[in-house]
Amino acid sequence: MKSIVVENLTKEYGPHKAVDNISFSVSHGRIHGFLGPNGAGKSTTMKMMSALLPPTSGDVFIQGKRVTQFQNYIKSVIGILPEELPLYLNMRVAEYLKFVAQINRVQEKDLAVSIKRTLKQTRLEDVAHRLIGNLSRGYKQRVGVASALVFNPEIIILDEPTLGLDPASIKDMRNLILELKKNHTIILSSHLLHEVGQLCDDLTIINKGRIVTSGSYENILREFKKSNQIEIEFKDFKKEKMDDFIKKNSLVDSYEIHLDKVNLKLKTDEEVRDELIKDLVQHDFKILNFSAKKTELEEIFLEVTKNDENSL
Amino acid sequence: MMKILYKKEIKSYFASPLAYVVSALFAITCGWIFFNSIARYILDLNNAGPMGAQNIKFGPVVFQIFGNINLLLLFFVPILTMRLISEEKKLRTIDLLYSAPLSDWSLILSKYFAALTVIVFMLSTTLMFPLVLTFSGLEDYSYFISGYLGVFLNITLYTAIGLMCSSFSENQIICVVVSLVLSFFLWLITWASHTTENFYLVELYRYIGISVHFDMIRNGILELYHFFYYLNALFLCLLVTKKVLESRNW
Repeated sequence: MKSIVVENLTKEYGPHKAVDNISFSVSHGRIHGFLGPNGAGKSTTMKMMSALLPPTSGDVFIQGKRVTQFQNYIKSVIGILPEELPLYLNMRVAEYLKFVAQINRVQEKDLAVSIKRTLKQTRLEDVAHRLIGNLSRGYKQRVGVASALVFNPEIIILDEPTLGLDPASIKDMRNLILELKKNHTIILSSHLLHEVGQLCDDLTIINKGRIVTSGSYENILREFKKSNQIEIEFKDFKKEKMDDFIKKNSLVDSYEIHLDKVNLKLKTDEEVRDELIKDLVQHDFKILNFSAKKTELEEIFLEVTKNDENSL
Repeated sequence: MMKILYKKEIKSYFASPLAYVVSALFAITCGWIFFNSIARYILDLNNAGPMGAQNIKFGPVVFQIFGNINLLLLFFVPILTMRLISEEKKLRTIDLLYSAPLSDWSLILSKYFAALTVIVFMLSTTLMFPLVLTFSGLEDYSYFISGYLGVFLNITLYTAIGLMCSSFSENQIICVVVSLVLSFFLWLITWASHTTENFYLVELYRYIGISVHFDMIRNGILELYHFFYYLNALFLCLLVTKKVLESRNW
């Protein structure tokens, strides 16, 4: 079931097209990564999805309802954490969450439960009665996330939720997002591609207002998978010895040295790791570490955004 | 929903020192004006002697006091209203309000009434003047009633102008300057009525200018025409504010 369907969405500011005829969909109960370089049109798209900005043309449907027609309904089912945190610095954390819940029409009888649940989820219980202005950047970020959750929306849009967080808090945030996935559909935009790779089921990469690729994370990895590469760490590595090995060996095409590791590019996509290890050992190579090199999201991101620039 | 926004706005006013500082300065300055006006009145009475005292009226003194209070409000109201929307824009909290199922009118009216409450609270510090005079034997309060009514109507308009200007920019200095200029313009435009003999233009200048309406009301001339003026101007300012908020969609 599709929670969000974006159809031929375009946003123009005068002659400039911030978003150019994009279409993609987000399935219910999935974490959908929304990536792109700065100025790619991510925030504009997310604002149009949450009824904060009307599109020039095209449509967004949230749970089958057209965003431009059912604005109040859309706003009540979407919780959004913008990149710039919308915090009232002179309010206390619990007071702020109460205000956000109230303007999002949480019933008076449910307020206390909603606030308590959100404080617990975002681990803000200890600072519930502190002024937001006195909190650290990391805590403020958590308050921002809490404001997107406090009225229990079905769809949560998180724009850079880990911005300014320390590694431990990033881990907490990752666990929180995974926990939220059980009951919510999540759209996640982040520049921490490693985090996105760990969290997202689906991806949409956008550049210069246009979609470069969209689909399930696994499919995108498969699509952009580079030729079979093996990363090996040798003891007493000698270049001449490797040159000699490659001339004689039928599996390896070429190699590259990266610091203390060697990347072997294989001639085939088939599974030949056991044979390769056997050959290397026979040629008296001392192997300390041996692993298949994975295609990283960062590589895909750089490749698709670079290709897109070249094509312009 | 308006009640929630109104309460938040009132809390926000009293959480910062601005409202207290401005109210205190206003009360001190008004006190100074009141003291000097009454002292001058008493001096004139004493100098006039028993016969001449009959010609010295108390009404014009009160009339002048409210004129000066109004002049002070021209400066103080923009200071209190400058942050209403511009601060929300600067802190990006406006996005929080836009992302909630709230209408622009509820946002505008809650902010307007909250600011009006704070300014009326500030004005209420001057109630001690008629109170002091009551102990000195004041019996006719009509000058004060019409004076307060005139000043209150002016406040309703200055607040709307301040709110409107606050929506123009996230820079509060720009907002306060534009608000001051617009409020003064409403006073000065009446002067233009002396520069033409065209009846319609004269009437137009006199209608647009606030001073004619204020003078009539503080003199106790309560015609519907004057109330319509305030209502029209107030609605126009709030409508422009709404259009400015809507411009985010352009």
